[in-house]
Amino acid sequence: MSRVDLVQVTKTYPGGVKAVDGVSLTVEAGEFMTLLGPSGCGKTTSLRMIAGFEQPDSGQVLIGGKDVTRVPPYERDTGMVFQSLALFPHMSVLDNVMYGLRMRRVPRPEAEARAKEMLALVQLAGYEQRRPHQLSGGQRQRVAFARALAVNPSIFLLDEPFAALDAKLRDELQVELRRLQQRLRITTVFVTHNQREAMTLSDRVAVMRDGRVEQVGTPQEVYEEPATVFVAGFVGMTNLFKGHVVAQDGGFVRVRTAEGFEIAGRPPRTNGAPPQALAPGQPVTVSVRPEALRLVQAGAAGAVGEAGAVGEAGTPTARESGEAAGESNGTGGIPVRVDMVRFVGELVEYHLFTPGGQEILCTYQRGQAAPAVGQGAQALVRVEPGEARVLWQ
Amino acid sequence: MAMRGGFPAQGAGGRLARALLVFPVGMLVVFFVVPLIMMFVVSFYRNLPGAGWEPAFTLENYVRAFSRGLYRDRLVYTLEISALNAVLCLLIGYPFTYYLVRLASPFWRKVGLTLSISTLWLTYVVRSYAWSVLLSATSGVGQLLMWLGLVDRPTGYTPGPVATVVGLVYVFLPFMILSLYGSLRAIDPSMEEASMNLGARPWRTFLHVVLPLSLPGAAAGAVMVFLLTMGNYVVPSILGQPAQWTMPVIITNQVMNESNVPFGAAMSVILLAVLGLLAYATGRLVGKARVNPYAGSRVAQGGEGA
Repeated sequence: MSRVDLVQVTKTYPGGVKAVDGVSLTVEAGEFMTLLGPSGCGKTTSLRMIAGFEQPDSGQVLIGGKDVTRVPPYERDTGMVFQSLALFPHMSVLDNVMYGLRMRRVPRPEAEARAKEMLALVQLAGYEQRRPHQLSGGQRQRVAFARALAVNPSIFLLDEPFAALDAKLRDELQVELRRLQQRLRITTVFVTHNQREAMTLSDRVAVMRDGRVEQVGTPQEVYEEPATVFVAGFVGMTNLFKGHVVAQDGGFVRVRTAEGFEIAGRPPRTNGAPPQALAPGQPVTVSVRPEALRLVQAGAAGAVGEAGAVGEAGTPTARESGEAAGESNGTGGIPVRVDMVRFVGELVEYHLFTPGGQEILCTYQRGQAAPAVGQGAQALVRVEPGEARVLWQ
Repeated sequence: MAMRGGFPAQGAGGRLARALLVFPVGMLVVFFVVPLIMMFVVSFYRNLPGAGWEPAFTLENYVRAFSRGLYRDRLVYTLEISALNAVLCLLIGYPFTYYLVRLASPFWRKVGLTLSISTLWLTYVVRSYAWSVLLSATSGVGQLLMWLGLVDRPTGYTPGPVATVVGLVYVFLPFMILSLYGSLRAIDPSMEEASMNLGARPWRTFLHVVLPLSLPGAAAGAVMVFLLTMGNYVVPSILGQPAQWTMPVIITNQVMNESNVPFGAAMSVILLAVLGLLAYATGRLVGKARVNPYAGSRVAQGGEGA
């Protein structure tokens, strides 16, 4: 169990593409860290630099505080699970799991005992003599875990291991992986482009884009307090409204959206730096999660007719006044047309359009009192107080 | 499938399928089976020196082929030089192909492969004569060695054993490269990375992962080169002295120069029998060693999820 540090690592591929651009990241000992981002964001290259398959052009890679930047992969003491799994097809399951131990010159009986122990740990006792191609997808995955962990590495690395599996199996293996990781208390770096996977597995998530780390934080932090527009859009679903700052009062920033509605949200995350004042007129983006929006039936058809009027949704004062005045006067929210209602099991999704044509997604949990609006109905959308977040553009 | 139902006998589909088969089967019979039978029959005929042959059933051609030391030695020599060529092609072709396959740029990989098999566009005859010029005393390699100060005066290597071996390697190396290329290319590069990640140095990675996975391709290439060398007539006859003549050269000599067709036929049957036996034996050997046809390939790893 050791910590991993990437210190200002940069990697440029021939052709001038900067795969990793000045990334600094610390994975604490025993922590499960996920590198999350779209393809080409540098997450796999970062992982491969920890494993030693790529050399950074500049910067350092530290494992357990020791500089391993120039140490070849076979001397690094990491256990990696590859996207293709890379099980050796000409060897039995037992030989696969024993491979690392045998390469470290562990005597055969000892290596065999350890390999069997690992196979038991991943619930594959009895499969020792099978060949990889005789196993199911999930079983192969578990052999790959056992093989990487049999040598008791100080760092466990996983490169999108679940990408090829169907959703149900993926869920099962995710739970199994997390259980295994917590049992062994092993420092783990996991690479995925699947934000759901990242959220459910990790202690912390590093969201990457274009070779840089955009934000590092617990899944909850990253979801609830995204630092950038990209993070807000990539982690979970969100509604983004471009606009300008009207004023900053109290803990909230009032923003007028391009369509002319007013939304109040919490100011941007400062990442430790002293908060910067947002000058009126400053262009910003407001992010509102679909579950933070509440849908209310438009009281009268006339409400939509006045839709062009400024709605002061969101600010606590505006909300109260809106409620007091009743929704029908058009000041209590953003007027929308219900385009589609989708039932997703645990959720009900409302796909809405503003008069200006922006699509808005609003979700209700099963059991929450969802408004009885059907397709084509006119309605008002309101932001739950404090749930909107203002982001730098 | 409409064809399947009609396969045993009836149905228009079945009849059409059988009608279509007439062409390839006919070609095989006319150009392959019939000549083989003719050769087999003629090998028992009696040779009339200076007057062709007469139909008979005599074993004297076979007796002669096995009793005379000359012909026995030629058969052994043919086997030896074919084996030597297979080994040399493997030793030269393997590192080259491995390097080629691991080239990062697909463009240069294709260029390399195309160049290395491009010599196949020329006939054996042209390539053999090219080497006979290059290896002669007055040009090419001999002069180069003298210029480098390795020899005092230029030596000619042709015709002779060196020229024969060089020519055979040159001519059959592309077959080895083609065979190895497919099999090395099918190995997922992350196999090697996985091995190194588990603590194996590059050499042990090669020994425990790459070599076993490429064995079917290497074996197929070696067998192909071996069998092709055994049947080759052009290279040893152009680049070799009589001491380097292989069975095909001897057979040609018997038929063309000595006009002893029945004896040539008998030796052809013997060569064919040896070739067939070897092909069968290696086929069984490789078949046993093979893990599964897609071993190591990305196809097998991708997983058909069960």
